[in-house]
Amino acid sequence: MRKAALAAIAALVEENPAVVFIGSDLGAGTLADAARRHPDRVLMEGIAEQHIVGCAAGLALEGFIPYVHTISTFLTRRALEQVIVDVALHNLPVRLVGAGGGMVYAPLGPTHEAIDDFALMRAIPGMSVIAPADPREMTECIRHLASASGPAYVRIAKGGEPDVTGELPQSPWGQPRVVLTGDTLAVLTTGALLHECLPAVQSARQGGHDVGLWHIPVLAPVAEGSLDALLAGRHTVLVVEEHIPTGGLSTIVAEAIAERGLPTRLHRLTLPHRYPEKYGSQREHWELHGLSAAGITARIEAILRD
Amino acid sequence: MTPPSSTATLDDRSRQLRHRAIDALAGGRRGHIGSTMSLIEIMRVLYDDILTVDPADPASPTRDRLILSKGHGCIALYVMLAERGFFPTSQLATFCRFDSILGGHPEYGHAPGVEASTGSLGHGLAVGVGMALAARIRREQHRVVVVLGDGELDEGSVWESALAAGHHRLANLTAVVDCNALQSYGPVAQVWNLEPLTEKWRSFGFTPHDVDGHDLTSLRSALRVDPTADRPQVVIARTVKGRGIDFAEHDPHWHHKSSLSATDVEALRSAIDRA
Repeated sequence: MRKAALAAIAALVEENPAVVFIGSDLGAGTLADAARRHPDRVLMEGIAEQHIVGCAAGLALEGFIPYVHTISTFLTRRALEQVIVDVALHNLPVRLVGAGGGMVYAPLGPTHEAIDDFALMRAIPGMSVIAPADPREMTECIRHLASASGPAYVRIAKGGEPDVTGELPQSPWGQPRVVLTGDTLAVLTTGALLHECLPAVQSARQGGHDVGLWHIPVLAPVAEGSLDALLAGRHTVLVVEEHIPTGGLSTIVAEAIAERGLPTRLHRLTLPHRYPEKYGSQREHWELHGLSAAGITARIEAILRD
Repeated sequence: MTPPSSTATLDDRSRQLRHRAIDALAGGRRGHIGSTMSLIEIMRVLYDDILTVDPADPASPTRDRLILSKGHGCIALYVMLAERGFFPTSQLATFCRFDSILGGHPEYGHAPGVEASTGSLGHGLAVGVGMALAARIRREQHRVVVVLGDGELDEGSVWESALAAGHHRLANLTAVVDCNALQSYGPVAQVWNLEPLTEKWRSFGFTPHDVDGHDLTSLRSALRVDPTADRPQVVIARTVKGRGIDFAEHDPHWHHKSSLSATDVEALRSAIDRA
């Protein structure tokens, strides 16, 4: 997904003279061709996230559309005040494209694990928060942001996801995406976990249960009315996300249910609200917290037994 | 280091500008008095003699950009923007009031002529580097000036941006440091010593100019465009906190005051008339 994001940004740099890329000490050779062709608009800066976000704001004040890319936690935590003061307070079209969303960097430990990025970014007025599920959707997202107003944060999840969103019914940008319709239980997810939810939901359906699946790539702003349509008449909803239970998709859905006074029962399958203590792989953490396909299947079965 | 001229007499315009600053302080009954008064000559020279700005076309692409990174000195900026006609001088008296365009820190989109919102220290230079890079990309000739405080230089983010500006050899960028030698708690030298400051900036790739920040001739000379410059400039302006108000000069207790009474305001005005 990261390759798709960078390729889409490189294409935009080629097409649109207003697009600027700013990286912070990325891997050797990243966007080397684009940097050779457009050295003035492909800026490979130092390890200085506060600076690059402020610098991006300065470029955006001058009419440029900066895509800022480094590890998610360094953008959302280290540069949080620059994101708020320099970018969001000025409502500038700076695109924060964070690598390593969720537990991608599990072997590197909690400094690199973006488990709270949705909450941090969603707290910022005007900030779009987007978690594409596959390279195809990532490309669509990056291209969409070249003409959208206001700031945006994009979570890049793990690499190598198969393209599945191309087969989904077309929906306007920002709307929840129907993957499978079903009335008994609605499973709502975002980002890379779509790929774990899909076999779990399919398994339940093969067992004769009318379970549906929705992917919500845009967590903020939530498209007007979209949650009304999604939640109307629902008895039970399960939110699955690679994020702490505070401030992410499960909170969005909880708020929507509470605000509307719905009788919907909400189940949440998330990372715990604590810093991870283990290393290993992203998948091992998914398995530990029930976020792998098998864990989601087990949770769905438990809900259906209730 | 050039010692600031705290004993020299102010000329009529410097006194008049300080009275305008008092209009704001009296209107809001509060403000960063010391931090404003040290800035007056810096902002006066910039807006009277150096910057190309047009209040009739405040977004002109060819304008020079000024970011007041030490946003708490905003009254000095507001005074000069009003003087240049960006908004009526009568607005100064609304400082910090509920519906005012003039808040306790400058906000982009509120007061015409304010290029960037500041208030939290250590932000302005990064934004200025972005603006200077933008001008370079478009081959535009305007300048970007960022005014910082000396206490603000404690912020690590300033030095990230200084490294970047030096690396990119942004000759269209000028930093001005209002070195009034006092921060909120006390003397800068005692809180965190910054010296040798010119050497620091030079080592980051800037051409430093160490001047008396109340001396108009020195400021004009240091701030004038150098067409041969191949790197960013920094003007280390040695100033006196509270300059022009004898009982506030060099006194950290005058960094910020609230609940200013009519008697306080009268005392401030009398001091300016004596200066």
